[in-house]
Amino acid sequence: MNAAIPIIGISAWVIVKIFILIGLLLYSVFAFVMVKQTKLMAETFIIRYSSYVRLLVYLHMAFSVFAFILALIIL
Amino acid sequence: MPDIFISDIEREEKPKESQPQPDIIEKSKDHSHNPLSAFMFRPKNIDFEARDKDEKIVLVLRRHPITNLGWALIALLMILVPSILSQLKVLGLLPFNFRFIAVFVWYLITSAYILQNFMNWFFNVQIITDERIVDIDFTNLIYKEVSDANIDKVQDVTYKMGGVVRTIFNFGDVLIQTAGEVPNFEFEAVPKPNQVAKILQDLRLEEAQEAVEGRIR
Repeated sequence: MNAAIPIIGISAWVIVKIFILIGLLLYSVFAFVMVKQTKLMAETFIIRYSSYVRLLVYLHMAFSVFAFILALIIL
Repeated sequence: MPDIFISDIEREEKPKESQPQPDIIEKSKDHSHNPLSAFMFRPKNIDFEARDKDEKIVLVLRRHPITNLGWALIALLMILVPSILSQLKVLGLLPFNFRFIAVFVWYLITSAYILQNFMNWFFNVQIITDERIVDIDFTNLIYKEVSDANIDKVQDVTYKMGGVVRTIFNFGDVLIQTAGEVPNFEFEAVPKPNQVAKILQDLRLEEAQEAVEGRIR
């Protein structure tokens, strides 16, 4: 990691990290939109199992936030 | 003593009381209460936002499950990508922490892809009630379209099946032309299109019968 070519005085990996963090932040927003959309879908068409789908979407959002925090810590 | 004269009034037959038509649709047998089914006839535990109190759901349709095969195969391939890349030593070029995040994010994207496609199949439904046809469409994350037309506005029902896969798995498109604001409804790749057309025809007859008998709600 230290062997990375320095660009304007900082390591290239730092720039990569910033891009990854921005990407993950946007991804978390997307995951949140997905949660809202699933709620709307489940209210429009009421069917068994939709609660499981909603649970999966919530888990997906939780993991996307977790990925952002993880990237912030370990990168 | 034999009657010599019988008044016309007495001879007049009493008009038959309008018997409620035995429900034509009840005769069909394909009852399905599985929420993952693509052809749910008289389903239980299903409702939709704009349903009237007395409205009964006759049929709920989705695309045939086989239409999910394309994205399911892509998802399978996506699940295998990190293993393939590590076999090819491509991931080894990255430092461990970046490699870990890359794989984690890749599986996150894969899960979003699967969820998105599944929800697209699960919630995009066509509902036929005893009063109307409702088409619920979610084309992407932020677009929802719900259109409906009364059964008595249905003018023409056409169904088409073509191709090897559609013939083998018995699914096709049902095109419904109406006199309403939404001129056409297209139920794409729904199972048993001939039965869908038949059920719609029966409902139209029932609706016409109700109109004649003045039982319209």
